[in-house]
Amino acid sequence: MKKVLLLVLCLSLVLVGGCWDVLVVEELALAFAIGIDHDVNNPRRFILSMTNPTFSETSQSDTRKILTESYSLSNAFFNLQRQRERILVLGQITSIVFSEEAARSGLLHNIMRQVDQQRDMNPNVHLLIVRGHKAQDVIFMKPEENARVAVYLDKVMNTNFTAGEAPRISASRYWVSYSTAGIDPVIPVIELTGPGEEEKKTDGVIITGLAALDYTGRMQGFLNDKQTYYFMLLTGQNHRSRMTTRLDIDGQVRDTSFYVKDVSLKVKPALENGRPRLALKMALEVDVINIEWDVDVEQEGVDEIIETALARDFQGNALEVIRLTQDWGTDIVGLGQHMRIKYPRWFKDERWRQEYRNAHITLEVKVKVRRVGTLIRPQY
Amino acid sequence: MAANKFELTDYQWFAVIVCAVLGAGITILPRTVAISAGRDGWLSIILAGAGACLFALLLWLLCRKFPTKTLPEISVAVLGRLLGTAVSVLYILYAFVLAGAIMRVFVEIIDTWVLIWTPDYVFYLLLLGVTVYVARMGATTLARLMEIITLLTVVVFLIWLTPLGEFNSLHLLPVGAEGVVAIAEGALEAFFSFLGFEALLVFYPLIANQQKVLKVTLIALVFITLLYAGNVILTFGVLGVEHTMLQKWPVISYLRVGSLPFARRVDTVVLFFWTAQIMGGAAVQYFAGTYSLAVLTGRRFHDIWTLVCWPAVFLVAAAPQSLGQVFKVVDLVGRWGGALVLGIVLLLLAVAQVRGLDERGESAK
Repeated sequence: MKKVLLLVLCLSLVLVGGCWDVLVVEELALAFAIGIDHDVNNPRRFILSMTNPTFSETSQSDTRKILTESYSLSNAFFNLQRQRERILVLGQITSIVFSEEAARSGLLHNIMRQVDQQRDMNPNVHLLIVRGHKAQDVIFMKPEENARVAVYLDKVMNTNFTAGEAPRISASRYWVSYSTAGIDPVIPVIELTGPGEEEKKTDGVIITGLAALDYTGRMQGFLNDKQTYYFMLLTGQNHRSRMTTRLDIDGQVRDTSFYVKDVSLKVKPALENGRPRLALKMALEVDVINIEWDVDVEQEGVDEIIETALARDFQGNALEVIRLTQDWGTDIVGLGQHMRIKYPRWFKDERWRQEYRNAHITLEVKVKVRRVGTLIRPQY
Repeated sequence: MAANKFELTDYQWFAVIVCAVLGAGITILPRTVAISAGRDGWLSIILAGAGACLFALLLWLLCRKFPTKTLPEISVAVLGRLLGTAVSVLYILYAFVLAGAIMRVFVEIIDTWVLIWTPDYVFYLLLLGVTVYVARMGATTLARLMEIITLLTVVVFLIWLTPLGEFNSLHLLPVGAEGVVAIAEGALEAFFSFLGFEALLVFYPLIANQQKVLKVTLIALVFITLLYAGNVILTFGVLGVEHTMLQKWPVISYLRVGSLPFARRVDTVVLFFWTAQIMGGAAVQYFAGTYSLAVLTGRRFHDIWTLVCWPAVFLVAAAPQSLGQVFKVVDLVGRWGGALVLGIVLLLLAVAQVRGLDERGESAK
């Protein structure tokens, strides 16, 4: 009897408390993706776009598209709720899309601060910036691969992370990068795809690169898809990386593609007359997929030639990425963290922001070729 | 040494300590140590754990002098009836306040993150219902339940690892840069999170293998220190120190970063299991308080006290009007309660030493 009573008491802890917070799935309006655009008529307001699945057999459409104008995120959600016959739930949102204007003006950070305070919001939500279109164009597009935009966006981001094409950037990563001294946030950039005029592009999206944000959360620059690869290598976010490049071998340009099997980066910070100096050493292990070169790849010395060419290529391109971020004043690689660790008394967040632009940064690259393709003579 | 059915085995005592110490405080600990010791917060935890082990040594030195007595009997024997009763009443109040504070912090978390619209009194009554029931059943029943909860804790800490993919060791470097003073200040703050094991003052006569009490207690405290330090390292590594300091509930924010294939919100899964831990912590304190009352009033069974004292715990839990007041209460309980218990132990040890009181010596004569 006593055991039964104890069981009932324990179960009541789990079961009874839910009565006041009961949510019936059939009565919920699940938000899966939202878009944020500036309101061109009122700079203090923004436009939030959203789609919900209707989950109704009698509905004419399987998704409901909604737009609302608001001064704050919470207010926007309350406005959205007043348009729905179901309870709006935010916990299932998988993507938040911002227009480039919203990212450059600081609206993105303003919204992300508010997202951080929404208790039911998923911190693993993908963040995206769309170039050339409004965020609502992404939310209301009709992707060919999937009827539901939010599912499509989620799959595009997850698949490309798995394939090594883009870093995984979530809301929590944004918050942590923004708050942490010595590193600034990045957010993937997408563009709409489709035939014909810009306004008719609604078939899907393509990840075109990364937006570099500064310490205020404003977008300052854009890394294209190739530069994004080097950024991922520099930050250890290369996950099953596959790359293509054009190597200068024997005075000719040779198309090459390869897997990056392993990469390690060592950063040696120093202060020279008060000026920061960072010596970067990168070691890579690559597996060449193909190379347009009429040579017997089993010959002695071929591996070394490719290694030297690749090292030169990596060094030039990765340094270019770093120089760009220095020009923008955004330390997205997080080199400031190494300065902070080596010189904790010298390091101040504000000082680093100023010093980073003029920091002397060098990069030494060592490449080890593990194998060259599957043919003895690639260009037969 | 085999335990009889009314005595606690070594593992049961280990489980009682784990449940008594691991309460709701773990959810705010990373912020507490980050504010004082920055990136070296985890070093503060280890230092605080060492301090807790020293405190446990003092407790053991006192308890082994009186192996058949609980705190009220020891204090009356050492300090006399009037002062001894006053000391016992202070300890009993401390135990009830600690039980109430544990419940309140947990209810704040549930009310903030999971069940926003459920009235607080529902949580209190449900938690108190189980706490009173378990405490009333006696030390061995309580200890058996703590055994199960401790096993559950290991599973919970495996789930705790889910946000590990976001871990960045640079957030923890450089080690020791905050300075010895900052680390020591952090250790002082962290020390209060170890309170709970002073229940030894009540449980000691109920433990079967008293030769191993110190060893088991120290093992349990090392286990808890590792869990606390691991928790701080994980939270700092995933959220970064700066972002951790922004969070009211850093561990919940940390857990929300993780997701499992079958559960997107890991925090709710952990809170579900942690309910048992909270109930366990509150039950140990409630038992210690009511059992001490029973001993003090000369009653052999404490069941009447368990049935009438719960409003005191309820009042402590329900009294703070805001989260700010809750944090103040927790701070007060930690600082003054910790100082009180430490003071009681030192006083009793000193007076017993001066007066040459030692039950073992008396029984030998």
